[in-house]
Amino acid sequence: MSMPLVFEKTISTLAIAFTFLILAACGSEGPTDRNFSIDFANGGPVGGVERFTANQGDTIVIDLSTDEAATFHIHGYDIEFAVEAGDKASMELLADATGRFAIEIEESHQHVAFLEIRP
Amino acid sequence: MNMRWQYAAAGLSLAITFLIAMSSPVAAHGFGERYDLPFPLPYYLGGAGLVVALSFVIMGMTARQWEPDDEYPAIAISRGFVGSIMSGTVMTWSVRLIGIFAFVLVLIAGFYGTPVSDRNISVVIIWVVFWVGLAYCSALIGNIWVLLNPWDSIFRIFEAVVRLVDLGRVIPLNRPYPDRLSYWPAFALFLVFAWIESSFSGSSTPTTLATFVAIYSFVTFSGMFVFGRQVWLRQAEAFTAFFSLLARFSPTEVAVTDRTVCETCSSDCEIHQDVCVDCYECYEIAPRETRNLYIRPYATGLRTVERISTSQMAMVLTVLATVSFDGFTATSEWVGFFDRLLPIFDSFGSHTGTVIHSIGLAAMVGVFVSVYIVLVQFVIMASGEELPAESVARKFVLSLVPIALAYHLAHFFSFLLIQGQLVIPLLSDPLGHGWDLFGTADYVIELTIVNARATWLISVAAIVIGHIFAVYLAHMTALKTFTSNKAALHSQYPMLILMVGYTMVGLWILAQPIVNTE
Repeated sequence: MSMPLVFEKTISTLAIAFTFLILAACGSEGPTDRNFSIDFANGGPVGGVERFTANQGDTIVIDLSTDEAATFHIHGYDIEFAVEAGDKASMELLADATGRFAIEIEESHQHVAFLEIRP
Repeated sequence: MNMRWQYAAAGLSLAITFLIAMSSPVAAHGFGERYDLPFPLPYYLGGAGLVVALSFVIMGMTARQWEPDDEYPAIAISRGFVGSIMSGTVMTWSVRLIGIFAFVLVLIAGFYGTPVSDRNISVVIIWVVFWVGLAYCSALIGNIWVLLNPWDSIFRIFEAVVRLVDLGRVIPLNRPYPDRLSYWPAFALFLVFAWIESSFSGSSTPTTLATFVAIYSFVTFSGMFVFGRQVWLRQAEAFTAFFSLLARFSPTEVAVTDRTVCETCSSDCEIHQDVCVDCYECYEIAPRETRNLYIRPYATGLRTVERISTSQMAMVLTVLATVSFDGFTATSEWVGFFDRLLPIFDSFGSHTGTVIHSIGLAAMVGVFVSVYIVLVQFVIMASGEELPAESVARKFVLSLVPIALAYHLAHFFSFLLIQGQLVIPLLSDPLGHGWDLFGTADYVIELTIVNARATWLISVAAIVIGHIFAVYLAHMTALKTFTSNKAALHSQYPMLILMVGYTMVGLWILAQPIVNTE
């Protein structure tokens, strides 16, 4: 069989396969509101470093509380929130970009959580 | 083998590197944060399934006879008005000047700019534009590095000045390049670069980078001075070797169609059917009518395997290992390995991370080389023909390049689109001193430019297509290497296992949950 024919068949197989993949990938729920919380105490997040998952388009509220003054920073979205010792605060964002974003304490570069936004 | 030169070159490079090592406790990969989501299971399984299925399809089709044919369709594009402008001196030297400018900018920004890595253009130029962007261009468009190479351009200016003041007979020295050295210097220098990229924790510090660039410039200029510019570039300059390798996959080439011209140029170009392809020295001196720029099918350049040397093979395997290592270090398998080694290498203090990463890189290269060599033995056994293993190994190594390329592209796709945007504010404020030359200094990276689903689809597509090219190339090489078509076909079963395995490793890495190593 000649080369062009092999590639034709290959491309068609690929096209069919990807159609299935795309169909499988589509169809998710509509945007929802999600609420997460990070409690920073004794030098670390209570409950360990968590992975928050949400879908693209969701509105996300993250409640913050800390026993020492800290600036929480969501990478990627580049949102910063300074919270005083013993204080509480809330970060809100619209999850318009997909990806895996680290949330860390600016001062110590310590990771406290990860935010995963799925398509 | 040329072990002594290899060790000497590698040892010298490493010694120089360690002498100026300044590290911070943070492990780094080149530079730049990544926001990739790992492949979800359907993509991983779908990709894996496609790879295996298509491999069988191609094997089945090629069981009937394929005639190994060295000819390929090529369209000449540098005639005519537009073509002659594109390949004219003004255009080529404009691109050369861009290369020189970027090089000087890296040095200036590296030494005099801010130490904050994402506010200094030198870091972004090296790790995003150069390492990733240029790799993409070389593989998908053509060997643009030939024009962008600042060391080549600067040395040409030096040569012109030397001719002007008539010192041409004395310098450069033009000593003969020892044949045994072959590509080993390029291999060693590339390994150092790979080490900096994957293991060295100071890899995103501007001054460190500028220092490495300065050292490398000294090495390169010295080499060109002693052995001659073209000789050094072709065999000893790491990035020329790297980008030329990638560019073999690309759909463009330059060719000189007159055999006599090819025979008279200084380097030994491969001449196929009275044409020498991608021989830049010949292209430059050839008369207009005998030279041209061509468009060709992808991966064509990976089929010319007759002259691959052992050192080139080592270089190719190192490129493959390096490209995979970067992604591998984000997996939990690696983190487990890392944590187990931590107490053993504690005595290195803040350098412990670098040491363990270096071991990992060396191990990865070792594994790739060993697996490949063992597999070549199986290939020969399966064919039933008696051929020297070293020669067979050299011939088949290029067929693995599409798999490495596909993984590299998939791995860096969203990185390029996201961190690549840093060029916009950095052009206005390259040194991070608060300038705003073009009004873009306040530009904020747009995350929504790339969607995870698009990245997954493109990644799987790239990996599957890369695999198909690899299987095709290996089969063509087998037909040229073995005397009977049946032997060629049988020889490909072990090769297929290697390729499916290698492609799966790439898919697996992309599907792993990303673990932070800090």
